[in-house]
Amino acid sequence: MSATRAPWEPKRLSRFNGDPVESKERKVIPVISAEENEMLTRVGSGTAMGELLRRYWVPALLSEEVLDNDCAPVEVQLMGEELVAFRDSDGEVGLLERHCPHRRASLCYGRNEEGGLRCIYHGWKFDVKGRCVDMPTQHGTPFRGKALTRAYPTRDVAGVIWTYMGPADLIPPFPEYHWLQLWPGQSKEFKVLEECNFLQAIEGGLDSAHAGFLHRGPLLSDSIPADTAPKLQVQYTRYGYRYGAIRDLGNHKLVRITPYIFPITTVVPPAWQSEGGQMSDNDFDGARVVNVWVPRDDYTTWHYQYFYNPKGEIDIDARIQEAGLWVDENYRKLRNKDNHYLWERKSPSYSGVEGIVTQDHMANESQGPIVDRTKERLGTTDIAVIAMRRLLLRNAIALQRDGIEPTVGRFHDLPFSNITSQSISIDSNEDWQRVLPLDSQLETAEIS
Amino acid sequence: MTMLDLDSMHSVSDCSQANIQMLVYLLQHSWRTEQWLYREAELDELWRSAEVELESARKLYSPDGSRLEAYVQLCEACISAHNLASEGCLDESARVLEQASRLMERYGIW
Repeated sequence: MSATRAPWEPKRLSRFNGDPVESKERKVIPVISAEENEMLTRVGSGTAMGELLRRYWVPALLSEEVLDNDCAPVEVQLMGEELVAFRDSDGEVGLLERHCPHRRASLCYGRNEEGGLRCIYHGWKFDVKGRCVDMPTQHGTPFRGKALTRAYPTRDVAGVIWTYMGPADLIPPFPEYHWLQLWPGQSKEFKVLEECNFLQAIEGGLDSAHAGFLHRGPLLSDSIPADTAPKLQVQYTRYGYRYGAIRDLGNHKLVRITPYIFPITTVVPPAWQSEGGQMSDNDFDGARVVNVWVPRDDYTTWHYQYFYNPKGEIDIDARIQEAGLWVDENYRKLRNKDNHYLWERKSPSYSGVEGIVTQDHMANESQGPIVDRTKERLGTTDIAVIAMRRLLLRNAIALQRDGIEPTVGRFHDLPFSNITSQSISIDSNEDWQRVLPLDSQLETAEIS
Repeated sequence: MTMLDLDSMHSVSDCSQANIQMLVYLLQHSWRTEQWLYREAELDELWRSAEVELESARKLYSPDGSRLEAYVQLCEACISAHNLASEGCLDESARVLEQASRLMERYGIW
């Protein structure tokens, strides 16, 4: 074909022809708009994303933070809301609005005794349901027994206090994941502050390609396959989606299958056992990590992890070492952005930082408190990130604009206990979705 | 054009006519929601390539105005096609890209 204009073609219509200055001034519209970025990342009450996230059970704090009955109350911040948690005399955990409805003093200084939390200012006392059970400074106590302060329901499961912060009449089933049903010794929960918006933290968890660089080092040197550009394939499900990160190793493929459980959870597949990727055929063999990223506010995130092995005991000390889960009494990393994560160029690890979680947090926090997604350029290994954003955006918009409640991950017949990650080695011509088909109750043809 | 696998992503290493035409074909034939994602990611790659070309054209000592204009329009077409693909409007997305392809041809860019 000729590169010149054919006689029947119209003349160039461009008003910029030959005028590079004018072309320079033209602005290209970003793929993620500033408005969409705002919608995706703001989590306060009344925001589109905040309301969507409040439709799901989320971790609120570790059980160890309110270990004993009548223990000291604890400050909790979730999705920008200031809350207080306490365990009452019967072992029930309350999660209340932090400030007393009377004169707004903090209930974190309250006295936790005899079945409730008493404000130290005027002695008003609240039970775990937010009901005022005593008002010693008031005559007649007209409000006694009435719910005067906001209280969220809680569940104390597998070392974590879970809560639901949405409308009471829309409470979804509690997600009975199989990692929440193990014996002590098979599972350990962790909590660590990630100093950035929750979305970029999740994006890191759905980005298989980063492992070959960020986590390269002595701890993983034998476990990361040579192919650094995995091909990603997404399969939508009733809980969100699962994706396969496929690495081509000549006569066979290694596939790491990661579930994304809408809206804030991922399950990391077991590590490769060897360069050959010889994996067990059993879906539930091997240690795994579950990540749950709960927004603390717009700029910080509580990163919860379950490290578990359904078929054996786990080595907690080794996990802390591998992940770099060294935290202070407030669950802030000891290696944090203030000390540059103790980064050392001459460290044996590729990143210069020790610990997988610390490495992830370093990368995510270095993007800034909220990534400006209007400036990013995505590639083909970002497909799982794109899929997650689309799901969040569509559901947030549907809820806010049209009042349509989300269904993904909220079905009452969803078998949460069948959701798992996997690493498999298959022949080059095999399809991982056929080798490891989804449970039929998890399947969906299309998703909103 | 030979049959292309719609259920996986295709490498888009540059913004050549061959790649644009491949994407037009893929957009025209994709229909499942997972396939939208692959097309969206491929359009991201195309956009990235177009931007690289645009920036390098701008940096020339004596920029060729028509070449610049062609890449500006291709970038805009990529974004428009991308956003249409993400909404499931794949036919429309293909049409936008096809128009851009014709424009590139007109500008003599292959």
